[in-house]
Amino acid sequence: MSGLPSLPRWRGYDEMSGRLPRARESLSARAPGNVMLDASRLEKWLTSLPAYDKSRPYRQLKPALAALDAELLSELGERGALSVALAMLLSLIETHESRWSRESLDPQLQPEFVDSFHRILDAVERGGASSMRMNHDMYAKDLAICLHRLIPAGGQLIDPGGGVPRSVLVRPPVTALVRKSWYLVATCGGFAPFAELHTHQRMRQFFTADGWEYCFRRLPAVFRSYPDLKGVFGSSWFFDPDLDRVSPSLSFVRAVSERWGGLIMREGQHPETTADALEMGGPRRDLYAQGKYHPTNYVMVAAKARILDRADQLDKR
Amino acid sequence: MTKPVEDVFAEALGIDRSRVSDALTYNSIKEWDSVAHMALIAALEDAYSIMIETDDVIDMSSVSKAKQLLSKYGVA
Repeated sequence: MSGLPSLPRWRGYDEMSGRLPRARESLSARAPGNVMLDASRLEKWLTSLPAYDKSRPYRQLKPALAALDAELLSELGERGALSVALAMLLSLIETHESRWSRESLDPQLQPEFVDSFHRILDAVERGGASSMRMNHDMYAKDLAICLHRLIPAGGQLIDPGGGVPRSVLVRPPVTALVRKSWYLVATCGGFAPFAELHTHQRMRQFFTADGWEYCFRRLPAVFRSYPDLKGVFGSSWFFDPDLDRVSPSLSFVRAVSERWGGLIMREGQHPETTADALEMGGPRRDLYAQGKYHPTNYVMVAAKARILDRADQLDKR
Repeated sequence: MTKPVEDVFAEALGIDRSRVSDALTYNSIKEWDSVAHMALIAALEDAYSIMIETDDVIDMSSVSKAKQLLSKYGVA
């Protein structure tokens, strides 16, 4: 597809193989003396994780990762557990090409994975950080990328194992029920399976209008890889139309989604939504304190047909 | 040679180097909002080959605070 926005420091076409020995060397040098990172032990840890179910979200990894982290922590200590976590990612990156040839993923997506692998190799060479421990959400995301299950695409990660929660239909306003039902049933063809969008803090430099546009432009390749998908959805406070008023610099999230045919539906207000929305936003915090802003979660759903139509139009330009 | 923190701030926020001082704070100028903050963190990580912890991302509320936090990562 032509006209992909260029993303800052994107390295999808940069050579990776030359970096691998250096990353392994750096990892071995940093690992505590009691940690043996040989291939057979890594294989044992990797195979101790349950088989990945492609029809479910990446979150399925979290319970097993938390259990393995606890086991490694008591056996090897914090530094040891981190070394094993990084070694598992490195080991998967080392086998990426041989595994890729057995996958049915669209070739256009391969550079997206390579870009993320460069980022993860940077982390391995630096020795990681506590957020690279297995019990952290960011680690589960990186592991799912290395397993080729979460697809990096500019400003978001795309998880092909999702489904739109039916509860969004009955949220107020009730007057929108018919429009929402029509869109989901007639335009999309049902509630599942849908690709789900996730934000990854380690790809924060892509959380821009260009990064979101890039994400949508990669969806046709995702649909070719997973033909049963009916569309894409995301759930967050940053789809809230009220951001035009309280945080205009984030309005692009909704604007880009709507340009690609997305329907935005109010989901509700929750303590975790409030915490997320206020975490980074000074002005949002002030308005919230004054009672002038109430963080609200919205669900965005975009039908595959609408996305493919727009992609075709852009290709013809 | 290590790049001065001020230069990384100026480039990441797209502002003149002269506007970057220890007193510059998050959200005090339109160029340093929450979206730019994410790009700034990525630029600092790239410039100094570090990985900034999530708590520190949130805590980095000024240039002065950034310097303090960066020293924790071994960046002078």
